Amino acid sequence: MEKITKKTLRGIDVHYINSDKFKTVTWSMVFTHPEGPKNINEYYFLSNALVDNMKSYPSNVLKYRYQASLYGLDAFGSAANIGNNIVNHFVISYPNEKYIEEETQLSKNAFIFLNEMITNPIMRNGTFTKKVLNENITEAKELQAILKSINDMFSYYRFSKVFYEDKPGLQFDFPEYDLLDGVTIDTFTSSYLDLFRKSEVSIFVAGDFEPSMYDEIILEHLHPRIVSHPVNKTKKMYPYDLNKEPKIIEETADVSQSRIFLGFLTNVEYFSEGHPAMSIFNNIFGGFDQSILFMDIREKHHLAYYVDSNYLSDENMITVSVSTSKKQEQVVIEKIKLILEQVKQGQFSDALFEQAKDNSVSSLTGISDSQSICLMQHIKSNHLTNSFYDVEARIQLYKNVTKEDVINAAKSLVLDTVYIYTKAGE
Amino acid sequence: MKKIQALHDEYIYFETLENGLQVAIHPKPNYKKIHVSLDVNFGGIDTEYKLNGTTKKIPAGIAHFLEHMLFSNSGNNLAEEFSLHGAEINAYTSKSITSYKFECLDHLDYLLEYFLNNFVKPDFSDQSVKKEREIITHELNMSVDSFHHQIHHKLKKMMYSDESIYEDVGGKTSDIKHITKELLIDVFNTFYHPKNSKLIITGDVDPKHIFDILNKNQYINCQWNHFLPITRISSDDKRTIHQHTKYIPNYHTNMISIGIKIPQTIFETYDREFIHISVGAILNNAFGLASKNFDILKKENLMNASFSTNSIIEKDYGFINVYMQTDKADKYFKMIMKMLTDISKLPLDEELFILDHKTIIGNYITLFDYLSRVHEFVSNCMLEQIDIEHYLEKILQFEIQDLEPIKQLFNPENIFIVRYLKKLK
Repeated sequence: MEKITKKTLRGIDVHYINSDKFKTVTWSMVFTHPEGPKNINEYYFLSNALVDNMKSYPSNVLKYRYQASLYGLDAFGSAANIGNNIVNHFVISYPNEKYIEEETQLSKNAFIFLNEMITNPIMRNGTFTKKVLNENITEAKELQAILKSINDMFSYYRFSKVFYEDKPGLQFDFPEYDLLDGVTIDTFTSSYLDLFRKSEVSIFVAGDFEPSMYDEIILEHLHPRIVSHPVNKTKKMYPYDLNKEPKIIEETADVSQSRIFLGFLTNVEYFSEGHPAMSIFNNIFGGFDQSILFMDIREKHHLAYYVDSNYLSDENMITVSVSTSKKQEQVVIEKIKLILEQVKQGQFSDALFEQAKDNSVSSLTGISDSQSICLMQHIKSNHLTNSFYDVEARIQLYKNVTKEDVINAAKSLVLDTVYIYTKAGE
Repeated sequence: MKKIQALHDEYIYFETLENGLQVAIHPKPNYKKIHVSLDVNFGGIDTEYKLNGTTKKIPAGIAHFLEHMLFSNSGNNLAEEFSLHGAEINAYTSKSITSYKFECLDHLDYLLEYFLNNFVKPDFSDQSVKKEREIITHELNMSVDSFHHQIHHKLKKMMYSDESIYEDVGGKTSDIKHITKELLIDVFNTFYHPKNSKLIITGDVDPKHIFDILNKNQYINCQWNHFLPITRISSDDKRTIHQHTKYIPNYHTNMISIGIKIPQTIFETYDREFIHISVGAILNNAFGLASKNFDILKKENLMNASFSTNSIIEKDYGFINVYMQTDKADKYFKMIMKMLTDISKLPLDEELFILDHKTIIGNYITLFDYLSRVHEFVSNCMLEQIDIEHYLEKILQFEIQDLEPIKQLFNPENIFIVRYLKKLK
């Protein structure tokens, strides 16, 4: 059973998610930055630069060999948007020493490594070097080239850009390619120093451990530079206009099958009362292999190999993606619109409603089988609701959803963007 | 029922049932989901074989086609039935096997029975064959426009003359036109025999109860035909062209894919477990994150997220693939070729080899936290007849000199190169 506790150690909120189910121990140190998208690329670069430029282990050979000596300790950084804040996570995971003979110092050494990674990067005269910055910019550009060569990913990236181009400040990519040239050594270094000057810090630990032992590790080895500063945390406000005319954008590339994306906005907010109904609606619409889109477009009319819908709950958005032949593009788009109208009229069976609900409940229940997903849900929930993620309570909310709730969720959808990635020609 | 200890508190139960089906059950207390898979030894590679002294040739892509068809066997809708019980079912076809897998929270007894009964007798309509052909055509067309797919395909075609190796598991659209209902039923009857299949269950289950319900199951108890051993026919001509370069007008990047072919003699001399472990150890020693080569490539700005090393080791063939997409194609190519050929000439990094033992222990322990991964691990071990009980111990007993025969593969005779380079106007 999972046992969750929260305490404050050295002024930092520490969250223990204790469960004897897992053999892995994972620590996540979370830095929440003040509201706004300022320095988005700098924070993205930090997630790589701190992991790759440790003063104590100045080469990959030294660093990864040390990690190997900690039984293959995995260490990584990431940057993400939660609400209006950018958040940097620095994560380590390793096998629980309980399973390793004569090993008692692993957790302590792992935590010291995590602190070193965050607080002691290679710098010259208090600033990052040009080399480190250039490496990060080059890697970001190479990443874009990789993205461009994978049609499915690149077409989705372009759809996302088109969808958000008239919604400034609401969504960002990590990295944000258009802003790469704005990153300087000064802005990069200043963002790093802000981790310690302006960010709210919290620690999440998941695994099977003795809390008092980890209290001791934190009290003794948390680097004195790591200090928490309260920041304002708010949800994003998405535009919502029931009468909006959709954007229809077509872009061409050398592809044999067209990739089509439809983006719908809703006013149902993340973690709101309507969230479970929207999630079940999404399953009915195109979220699983019995959904109406799948059964109609693929199984009945054989127009596509894949067609699905996806509920991006923290962006108040439903996307539909489908790949089809060029000549069937309009047929497919009209079918998707028609199917949505039918769901709005309640034209779906009770059996499908129950299956969709079961599918949602099954996905939620499965969360507790993954330590990393559990941990991420707790971090998000803590940020947005200041409470732990309660899977059982969420499941109950899903079970209480009625057919009427689903119809209302469907009715809230407004088609915002139709994006077609297709070959040039007739 | 044989019980083996995979870790301090991890046990796996094995049994071969009367009809020849091999079963593995891995109880995972407190886990909510239960994973069940049926792996049939019939994959994309099985297009020419000997059965009862007769040579048979079947269209490429038929294993994958049959996988699609079995979702609507006898007019049933497998996916719908599972969905009605809160479960999800899926399948994939690889070169060696076709694997059907479902995940559920409850109703395991019913779903297991329904699942297995689906593989007792094939019953397809011409209409359902036509429908699946259309869907598979869409699926195959999706990969045609990918340069990743093209470069990988070209590399395999250079290394092998055998079409069953270099062609995709799904075949070509021209192949699947020749697949009929009769052919599908014929290959089902040849390959889908319990003796040619394995059942793996991972989750919070009681092995005794599972074996009890299996023993009452129609799939287990029905009268199966005598299983005739199947011998795959393969051809492996010596390949003479080792390099291919294609210039793509106005493309935004360069792609370099290098293949190191594992010769037939290696498969005749060593078992697949040895080849797997040795190749993995060498690749990690030469190009892993803690390797000196990785550091050099990184320092020279020749490393990015696209770099990958993979090994494909199937029943009777295998190769290693080193792939990179880069702006600095010439410099990278020279350096990686030197690094690859140096593997056979220079000693491996002993310090790293020893340190890796700790990583192997760590990875093995944490593997048990991921239901899907550990399920796949048990499935692979059964396929390759690996003794899980002594798996870790055996790897840790490996000494650096044991890797010598595999190290020698890295010579120009076995190396094949395909480069897709951008050509600017």
